[in-house]
Amino acid sequence: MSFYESIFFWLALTIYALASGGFCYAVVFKNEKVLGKLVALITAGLFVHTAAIAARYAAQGHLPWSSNYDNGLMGGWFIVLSTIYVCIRHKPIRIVGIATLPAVLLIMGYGVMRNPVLSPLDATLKSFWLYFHVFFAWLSFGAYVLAMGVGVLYLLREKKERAGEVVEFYQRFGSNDSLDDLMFRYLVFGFITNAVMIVAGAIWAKDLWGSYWSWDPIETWSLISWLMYGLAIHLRVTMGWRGSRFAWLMIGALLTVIINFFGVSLIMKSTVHVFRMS
Amino acid sequence: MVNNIIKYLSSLRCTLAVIISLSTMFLLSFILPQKDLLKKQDYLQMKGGSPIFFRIMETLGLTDVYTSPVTLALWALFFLNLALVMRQRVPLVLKRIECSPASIEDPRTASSYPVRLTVPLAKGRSDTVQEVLTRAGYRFYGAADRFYAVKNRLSPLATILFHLSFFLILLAGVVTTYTKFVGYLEMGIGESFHGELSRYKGSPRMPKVGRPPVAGFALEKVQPHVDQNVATGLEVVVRDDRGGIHIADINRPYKAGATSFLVNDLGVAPLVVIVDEGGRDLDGAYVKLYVMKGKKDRFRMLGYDIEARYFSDHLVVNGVDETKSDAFSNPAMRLEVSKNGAVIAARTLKAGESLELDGNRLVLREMPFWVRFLVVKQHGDWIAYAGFIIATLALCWRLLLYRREIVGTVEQTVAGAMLHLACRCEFYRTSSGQELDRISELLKGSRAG
Repeated sequence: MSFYESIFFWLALTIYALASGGFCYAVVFKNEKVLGKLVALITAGLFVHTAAIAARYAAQGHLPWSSNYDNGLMGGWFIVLSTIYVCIRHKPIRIVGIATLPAVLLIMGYGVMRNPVLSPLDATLKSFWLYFHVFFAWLSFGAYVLAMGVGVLYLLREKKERAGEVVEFYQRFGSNDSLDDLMFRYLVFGFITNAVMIVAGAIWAKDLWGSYWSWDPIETWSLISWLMYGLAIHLRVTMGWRGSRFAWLMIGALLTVIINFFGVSLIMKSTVHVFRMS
Repeated sequence: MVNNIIKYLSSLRCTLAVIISLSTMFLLSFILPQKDLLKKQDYLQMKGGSPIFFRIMETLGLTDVYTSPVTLALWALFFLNLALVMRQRVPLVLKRIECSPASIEDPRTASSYPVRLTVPLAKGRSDTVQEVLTRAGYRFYGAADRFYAVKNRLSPLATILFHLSFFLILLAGVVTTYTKFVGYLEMGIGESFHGELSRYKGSPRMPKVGRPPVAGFALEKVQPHVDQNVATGLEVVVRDDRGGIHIADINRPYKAGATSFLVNDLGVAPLVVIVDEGGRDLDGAYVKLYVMKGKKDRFRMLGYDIEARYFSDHLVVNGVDETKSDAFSNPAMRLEVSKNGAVIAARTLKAGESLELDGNRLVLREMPFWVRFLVVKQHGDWIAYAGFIIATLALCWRLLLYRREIVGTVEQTVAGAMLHLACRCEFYRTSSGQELDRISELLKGSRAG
């Protein structure tokens, strides 16, 4: 980590931690008034976060696309950006930050504990397709996290409704139908960008490993993840899965993405997705 | 019985069961030891540790999950299910995109249209509705007072297209499997290759259909780039048979027709020459050595048994040879020469230096690199690309440009003409309301105009 990057990184992380606490407060105390301030806070955090990325770019000469830390840094940025987009575009569900910001903290925290060292870009990563692959991966993962976040809101609201309580705070999330639609919209966006990610990765793999598909653990897991979300689309469109069942599905399906992101490289030592030249 | 099986095979339940089973098989590949992912000796060691377990796993093909009979059967089932579902769905989809007079329903009673709206219609402006809907991208059917309008009418076709793209990808998989040639080719600078099978290291995987690569070229230059101990590039320059120069690198293979020469590995091929007391060359050759990352390698020359170690950025610490970094900034080679089992000489040499033997002298004239190419020739790439592109476009078409339908009637009341509208959108419940609001706004705007 460069000096300035380190300052900006920790500042951004602190802001996100404060904002996470703020979102928790808003939910527990049903206080909607703070949400506007929290959105402003995470927007400020995103600027600082962008400065951290710029400082890293300046120090190492390439965008952070490769290591776990890089992934945490960029992934967190995409999720925060998506959260701000949702907060502006769908005001009633600004509270979605309660689910997405802790995810950002986890991803960035995990990254910084792994390998934040500055390093030149490995030869295996010098490909035009890498940018497509990683960019669409983050769009997709960001969308899946948001689908999960909306799912959590749906369940929170539905739980109160089932208990016969009408809590004004939850009513402001919008109708059940609009939350349900929103979950599906994020799923659709994530699914399409996930497909582009897999395709870009396959084309890249052809020039790097000589084959579109090598059944590498990470490749395989990304296929599992895509199939699971494809299954979710089928379940909704053809079998009418909606509401809480669909919300649980969005929460559960995110597990496949998390395992792909963190789990596989921890368990498997033989993935070719560890980019090192011997 | 047969009908029941076909019915099940063409059901969504079967699709779900197959996808879950396939995913389970893939998951097994993370838990069970896989031949492809383990080094041969590690695999054999594990096998020796629990022979019965491995015998069962190997019988079931579970140590090679992706090509196991179970997985292949599941893939066959997947495509059979897909074909049957498509056979069932194609007529339905074609029927759906047809617009018949039956599509025109009364918006006040049409139960499949979840959102309704009634707006007053200015006298003599019934044509405006058609105009507004057409401008909003709808195709209009019927008359001004009783109509059906549809946007993205052909969108359901994308479902067929998306699923057909799987067959294209399957076809690409079959074509590449049968036409694939894979071999490893190690070349030193100055060497040329003209497709000789004997030049490949080990036995290349021959294509079941077609011929091995016939490309010809000479290797002109190999230049690794290392920055802060990170391999940032491996520039390889080749000259083809027609004199054309091509620069390859990691991620940038040299391509000759359907054949890709991927830069796969690097080694040192020092020019070792043994000269006699008079300085006459007795023997000499560029020796391809596997000495990167501290590995030792051996070779024989003129009865001498020579062990080599390589230091890319050489320095001596407490009398011991070491490498300061992975950069190739100060290369040196430690050579230990034995004869009849006894070490007769040892020294660390740089290019141009020599080592005294028993009356002869070993000269390390230069230390160029050799490069290993992974040579892959296959056909069907474009089928796979087409499959990928069609799948992605079809997904966008189907899920983003979804179908929206509006039915309407104009009713004459005492208060004037009333336009009743009802709307339904695929996939999204709230979109119907939003769409009607939009149309209503456009109608208002049109009236105002």
